[in-house]
Amino acid sequence: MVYEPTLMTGALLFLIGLAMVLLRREVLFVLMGIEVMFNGAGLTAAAAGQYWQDSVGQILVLFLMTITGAELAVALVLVFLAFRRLKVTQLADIHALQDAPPLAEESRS
Amino acid sequence: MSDWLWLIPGSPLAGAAATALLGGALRPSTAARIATLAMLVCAVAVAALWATGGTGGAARQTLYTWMAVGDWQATMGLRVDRVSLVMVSVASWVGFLIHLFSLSFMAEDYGERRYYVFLNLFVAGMLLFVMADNLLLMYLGWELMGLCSYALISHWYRDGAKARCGRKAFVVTRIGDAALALAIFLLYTHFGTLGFEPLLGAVSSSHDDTTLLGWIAVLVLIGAAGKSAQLPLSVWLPDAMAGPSTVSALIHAATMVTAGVYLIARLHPLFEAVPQILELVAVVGALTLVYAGLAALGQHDIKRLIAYSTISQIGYMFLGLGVGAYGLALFHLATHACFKALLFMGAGVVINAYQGDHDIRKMGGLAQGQPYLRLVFLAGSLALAAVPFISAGFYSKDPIIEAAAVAPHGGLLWSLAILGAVLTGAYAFRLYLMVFHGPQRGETVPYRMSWSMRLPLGLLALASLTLGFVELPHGWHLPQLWSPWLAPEVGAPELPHGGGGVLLQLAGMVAPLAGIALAFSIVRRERAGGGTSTVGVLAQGGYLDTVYDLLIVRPYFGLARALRTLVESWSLNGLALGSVVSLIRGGNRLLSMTQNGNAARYASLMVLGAVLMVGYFLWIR
Amino acid sequence: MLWNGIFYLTSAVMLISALFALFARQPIHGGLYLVTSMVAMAVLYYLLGAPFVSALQVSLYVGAVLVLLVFMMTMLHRPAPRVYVPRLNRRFWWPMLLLLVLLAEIAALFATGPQTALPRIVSVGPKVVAEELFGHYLLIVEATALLLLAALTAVLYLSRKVEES
Repeated sequence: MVYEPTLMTGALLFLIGLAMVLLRREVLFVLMGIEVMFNGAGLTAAAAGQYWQDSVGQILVLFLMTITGAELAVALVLVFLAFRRLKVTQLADIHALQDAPPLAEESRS
Repeated sequence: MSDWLWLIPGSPLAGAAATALLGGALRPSTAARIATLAMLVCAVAVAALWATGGTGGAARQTLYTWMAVGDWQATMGLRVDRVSLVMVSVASWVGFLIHLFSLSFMAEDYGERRYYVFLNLFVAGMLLFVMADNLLLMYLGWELMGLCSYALISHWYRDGAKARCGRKAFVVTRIGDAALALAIFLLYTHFGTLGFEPLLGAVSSSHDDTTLLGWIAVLVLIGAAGKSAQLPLSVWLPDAMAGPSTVSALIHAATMVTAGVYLIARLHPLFEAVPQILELVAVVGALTLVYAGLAALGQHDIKRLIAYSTISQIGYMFLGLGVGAYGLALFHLATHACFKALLFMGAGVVINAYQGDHDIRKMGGLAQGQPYLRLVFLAGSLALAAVPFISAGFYSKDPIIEAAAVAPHGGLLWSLAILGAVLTGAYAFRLYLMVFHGPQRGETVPYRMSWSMRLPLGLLALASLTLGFVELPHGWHLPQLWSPWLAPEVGAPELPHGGGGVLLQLAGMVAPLAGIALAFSIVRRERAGGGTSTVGVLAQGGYLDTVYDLLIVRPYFGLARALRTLVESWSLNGLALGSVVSLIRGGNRLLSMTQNGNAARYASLMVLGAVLMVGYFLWIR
Repeated sequence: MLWNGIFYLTSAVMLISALFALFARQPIHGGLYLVTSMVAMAVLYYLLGAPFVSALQVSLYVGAVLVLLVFMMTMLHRPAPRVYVPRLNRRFWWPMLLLLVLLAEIAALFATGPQTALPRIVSVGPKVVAEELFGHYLLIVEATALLLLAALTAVLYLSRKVEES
């Protein structure tokens, strides 16, 4: 086996996930994209683990999966709440947490 | 006695401090009594000074070292020689009488305590000025007087016009103060010392660089002209009448306005080193005395009239200084202090009798209601007009006129001086006749003067009539006490002798009488509605105020306005502040863009970061 | 040789199904494509000598994560989905540019340069992994457990019924 193509595969998967995050407007697709990105990272870790012939790569993948699970649970609840409260599924419609508009021109003292 | 010299300026200073610090805890009458008591102590100390060392050498006392820089030091040193003794006596005795007068005159005024604080402080400043043994301490007294003058002129400051008069006085005298300061700086850099004895010794013995000494003398002259209200800096004194009459009596008749005379007399070695400047002093005095005499003829405000009269009489003193008759100038200073203070205080009573009206055209016949006032006022007017033999003014003014005749440019100086004598007689008696003579006019109240007002007026009237006898006219082998007594310090005056001298003396006697005769006809015309007060040039003091306003005041304010627009509004607010503000706002706008709540944009930015990082790794590989 | 063939074939399946997920019209379609992708990935894990993780991939990712996603999709009913036509505006091109640049960088990073060859694939079994996990990395395990607890609490709190005020 050649090592670099395995890394490349992982990177390409990551890229596809990134494309899903950046180019899709719905919230669920963004979350799915994040999942794909995690998977890409995990694949890279496993390939590296094989390179060093160590179990560390697998351990990293395990932790990634666990954290993904936790994160997804919370994220999905939030998406659901957003849907129920704000009636939105587009990511661009959730923008309440932003900087205030610039102050109006103050009169010169 | 030398150990007690500090008591003379220290007593009024302590009075001022006590009144100022105790302030509201005192009743106004108590403050008045404290001030007068301080002045009494001072006057008694001066009398003691006369008793112990009046004819001997100088009394000295050094209080402490004021400042020491390197090997130069300035001390607070007091020195009283005969010249200073004259000034100190005038200031303290006349000052005491005026304080006594104020006890009743200024009662139930608002700001009484403030008045007495500044009055005492002023006398302290004057005494420091006169008793200083170095130029620096003298300047301290000079400035202190200027401050108190400003404060006292603006005594009724709630009237904006009166406050403006105080400011005007301060600003105009400031020009003189600045000139004097420059002169002091020049003297120090050239001679390295400011004490009078070493400095004047060095000046007399230095024969080089008369241009520098000339400039110094000119600057001193400007300073003296500012404080003494001579041309061209005379415009502040007529407006200074906005203050109480007692203030006018003390500051603008007897003491502060004579400070310039003392200054030049003290620094006379400097002036003698540059004779042309001395001639300039005489010319300034002569021109001023005629100008002010003409202006006094056209005034209808009683106090402004007396103010112009003061300017004119000080012109005589400057004339005396300029022709080398320093002793005579000081003599005229002493007599003038007596009768001018008397006239001012009398004017104050007249104004009160007429319930605040200053216009003499509405007055008349006051002699019937106020006989005592009429008598003392007559005494003062006689002295002012220098009526021969019976008034002190004659014995002090006439020698000056004679000395002017034998000085350089004597012809011009003498003609102006004689003209001035005629004018003086005219305006002095114009005033007396219009107020006191004839049928009763105007609304008067029966103003009763208490003993504390009658006594000072009486004493000053007595002095106005008798003080002259210490210097009887020369050439007749009569006793002369004044000039010889001062001669060791200021030299003897040059007076004409022989036939020409007698002729000049006769002229000097006739001139005031001619003026008085003129006054009768002027008053008749004035009562009929015309008269000199309708002549615009005279009434407006030669339009000097208007000229200054156009030439100096308006351009100055215009410049200030232009600067405000140019520098304040445009540069500072616009460019400097504005650019900083714009910078901050722009930065804020820029950074806000990263926090716009758009999650996709956040993701893009993160990816951008990742791209850059990977690119970096590629690059270093 | 065989290994290489299976590897490239499986990775092709994985990537293509991910791409289909990218262009899917409905979320459920996207989810299903993702399932395919992840199963392919499990095979890849096995090929890379990680049988333990391969099994976990199927049970955790497919069995838990994607199931969760599908549940959510059923709860968020939307009206008839539109055709996904990406609007070619500034919002599209700017990320596209970034992605292309990133693609180029990845290619430059991995395709160029020396290629290392690994002669043998060693299968790192579950026993080895477990020894490392509960030996050297015990602390992180416990920490992860805490994290899961926190996520559990958060989800329970956020999903409670709120009184309609």
